[in-house]
Amino acid sequence: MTPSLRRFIGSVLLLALVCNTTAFACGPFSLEAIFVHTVHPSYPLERFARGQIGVVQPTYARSYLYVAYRYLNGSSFSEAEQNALTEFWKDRLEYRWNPGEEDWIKSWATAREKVAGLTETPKIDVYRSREKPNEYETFLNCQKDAFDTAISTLNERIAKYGGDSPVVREWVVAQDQVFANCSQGAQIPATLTATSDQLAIADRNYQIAAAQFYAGLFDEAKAGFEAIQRDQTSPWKSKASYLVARTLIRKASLGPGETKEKDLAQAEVKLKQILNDRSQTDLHGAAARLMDLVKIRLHPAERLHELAKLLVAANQNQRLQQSLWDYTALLDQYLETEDATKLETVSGIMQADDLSDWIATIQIAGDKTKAHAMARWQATHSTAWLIAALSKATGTTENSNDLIAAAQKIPASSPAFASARFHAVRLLLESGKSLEARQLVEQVLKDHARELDQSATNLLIGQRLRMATNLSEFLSAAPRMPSALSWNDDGREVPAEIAPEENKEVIGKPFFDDDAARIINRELPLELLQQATLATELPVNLRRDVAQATFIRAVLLNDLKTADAVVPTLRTLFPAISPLLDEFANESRPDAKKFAAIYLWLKTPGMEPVVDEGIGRETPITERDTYRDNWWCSASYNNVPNADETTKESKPFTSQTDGAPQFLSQQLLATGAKQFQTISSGGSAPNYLCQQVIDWANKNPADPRVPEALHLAVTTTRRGCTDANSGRWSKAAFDLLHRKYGSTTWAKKTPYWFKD
Amino acid sequence: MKILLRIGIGTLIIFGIAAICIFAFRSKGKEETVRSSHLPQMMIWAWERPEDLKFIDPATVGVAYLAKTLSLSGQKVVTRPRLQPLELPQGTGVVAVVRIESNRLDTPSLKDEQLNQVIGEITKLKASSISSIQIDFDATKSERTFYRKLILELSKQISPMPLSITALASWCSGDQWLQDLPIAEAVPMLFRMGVERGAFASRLANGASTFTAPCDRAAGVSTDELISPPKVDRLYVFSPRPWTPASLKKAMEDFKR
Repeated sequence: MTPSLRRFIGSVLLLALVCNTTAFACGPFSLEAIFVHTVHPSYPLERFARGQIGVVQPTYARSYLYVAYRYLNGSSFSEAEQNALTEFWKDRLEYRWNPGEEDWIKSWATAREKVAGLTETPKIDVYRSREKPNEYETFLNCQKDAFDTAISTLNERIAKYGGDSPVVREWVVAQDQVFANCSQGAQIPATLTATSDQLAIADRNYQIAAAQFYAGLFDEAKAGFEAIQRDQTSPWKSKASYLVARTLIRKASLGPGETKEKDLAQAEVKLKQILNDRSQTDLHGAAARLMDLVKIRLHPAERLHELAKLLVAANQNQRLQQSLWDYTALLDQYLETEDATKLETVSGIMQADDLSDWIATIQIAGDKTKAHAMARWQATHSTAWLIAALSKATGTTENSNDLIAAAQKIPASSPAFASARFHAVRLLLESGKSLEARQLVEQVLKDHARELDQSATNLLIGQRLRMATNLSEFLSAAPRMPSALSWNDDGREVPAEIAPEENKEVIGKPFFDDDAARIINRELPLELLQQATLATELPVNLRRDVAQATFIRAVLLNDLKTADAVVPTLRTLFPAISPLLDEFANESRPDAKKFAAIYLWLKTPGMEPVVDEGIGRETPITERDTYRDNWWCSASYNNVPNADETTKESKPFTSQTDGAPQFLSQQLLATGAKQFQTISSGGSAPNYLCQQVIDWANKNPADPRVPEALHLAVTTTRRGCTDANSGRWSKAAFDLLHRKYGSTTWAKKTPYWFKD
Repeated sequence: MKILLRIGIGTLIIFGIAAICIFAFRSKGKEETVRSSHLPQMMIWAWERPEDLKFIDPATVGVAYLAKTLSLSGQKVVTRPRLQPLELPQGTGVVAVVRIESNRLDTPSLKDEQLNQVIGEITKLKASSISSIQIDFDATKSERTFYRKLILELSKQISPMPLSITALASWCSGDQWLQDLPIAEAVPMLFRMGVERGAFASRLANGASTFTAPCDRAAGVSTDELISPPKVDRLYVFSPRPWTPASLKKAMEDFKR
């Protein structure tokens, strides 16, 4: 065992950082289009590390906010620091933390093979569970340095005594006992008495103390290291004082809670002694790192501010990653609370340094932080506080005009540019100055597209969509390029590694973001939807979606004239269903025309009266989807209530905002909303389809399409989105098929009906 | 609706979890003889993060904690034990959860040697004071044979301790491949349902009796996705944030426990 990183204590502390976002993926998951990143900036993260920070989201992990703060205040990072930051983020986002214990153990086993006459290397597990009542926790007990020290000591002893020496063999056997404690039990090597070899005795005493340390016998280990410290002949003497401190810290971490403070205080004294002792300079680096850990535990606020000072200093930080780990861990400790009273106290602590104050202010919602941000900006006129004040202001905020004016003065060369312009447009819009807002957003998108990352671009296009003065402008702003395609099953928004050849239909394609899909589905009346099917502003994939949605919506609303009008477009976009479309178009009787549409819909399970947000359904329109994304699931469009979200945290800026585009009059909005209500109230699509087919069959029993339509209707209740009534409809269609058309192949193909 | 499957990295991983639902004419699965009936009706998941749960009432709330994660990669099983603090009051009913993940870039061999390593890692948990073991493994269709073998062997090795598993909702109302397995409960996960959300939200909203044995005894929900869970003996509740007295109280109100 050697002096090592404080990490040896800190698996509990450090791994909290690795896993500070908890995920529970249940799936199955589809590829998701991330239009605006809210947890971290758009990839590549190197871009953010370089200072192209886009629109800074209050919900970013705090390490990104730290970097944003530095850039907003005119500082920068060296190339080495940028690399360190990028690695830091990737380690966290991609769960890259891996201690590499397999390699440590393998190296030890290889070194051990040099000694003659030994049995096979015993199995070593470096993790150990704590004792009751904390038995459910595990910690990394034996770290890399333990194996490195063992290997180097072994090599030295082989050099001195030879690989076939009994002294070396006994040393290895004792070391095996030391490592046995890594995972469980207490195997303590026996005291060495039957020799006069002082080095062997010193080695054994060290092994005994180390074994006690790993076995959790901290008092005994401490006494052992103290004795070694007093032994003038021991080669381990110089390290022993450090190891006493380390033992105290480990005891504080894993031992009884009641002595924790006392042990940490003793460790602090011990480490101070080492750091003040010029004869122990070889230990100063390790002792300083342990001291940092002690400070985090004993004096968290003091350490927080120390770290903040270190992190904003202009000097290059050689230990940037470690400082940022510790700093963000402390911030998490303070800010991750739902207790309003505690949060008040925390705000006071945060205000003792500007960086922590800025991060806390940005992240905590409410009038107090809003007023504080404004006050800090007015006091400092710093860009960082301007962005904080802007992000918290609304159109009705007092002095919002001052904020808008200041935001518009931020030059394109500033890292604050995207944030400043986005919030200026937002505040102008919220304060009713839509003309100015429109001019500003147009100018930014036209002249400064290269300065914006995709998330910022999408936010600004979203603003332009809300200011659309006609359908054409709306449709121009509706398609968005995703900032990333992500499985996002854990909420981390990490771009997926996907093969281009297998994902041609999604890579590089624009989709509807939440705002455009919501407006099209819930607010646009049918007449505008019909116009949209002809719009050249939409790319083909989105025109297809709009066209199919318009047709089915028109059918559900019994507006067969509009459905007819969409047919030519549908023929072009979906040539495979042209015969069915022709059948529909050629019917003149309304009821027959309606049934032709129902028959078409039964055969095209990919059609639905809505457009998709994001990537959407990839299964071809005429094929059934294995996840029952067939026909329509109206329940998916009911507002699913989410649990009350805490209002203590600021919300991200996304396109998921309410509000209709300017060109939609109240009358058009009312029509659109009523039409959406009508189609939604029809309930589950399988129920509707069964009902329509049964009605038609009863009135037109000789129609040769009826048996097939009944079969397909029953199928919808198996492959579609069903509800509690679906079983009844399934049985009704099944019964009719078997009662009246029992001899047909369609009846034979329908052996079951389906209930929920 | 979203439907592109995870085929992008060359390995089709979810295609087999198709919800081919046959709701009618199904026989009931056989009743398991062992049930973890002494556990409370409400179990909270304590995932990999520091959790101080000393405030819970062990009479009404139990804890299912993530004990370890096993990553299957090629021939290997990489074990990641729980490294986060977990504090519980005395007398808490505890379920140890083992999450199994497959490496999508280095497809697991799923051979007997790997199976035995997994079993060995899981059975080590028997030494701790737990009432039950729960496996969380979103097995693809190609991994089901492996998973079945694992369940069959593991249930023998941990007997009489009951074995619980989490289940994709479609396993419980569609292909029903769990029916003949010796598990005390399969917990349909009624949150983060991905592409299946629409279909299940509809049925749950209508109070449909969606699940059959062994999925009819427990259900899994999350505090940030309010749904009406089906009537089950035991509800497992996940919280995306560390549990607090307030969040637990709210969860109990939200889910009527």
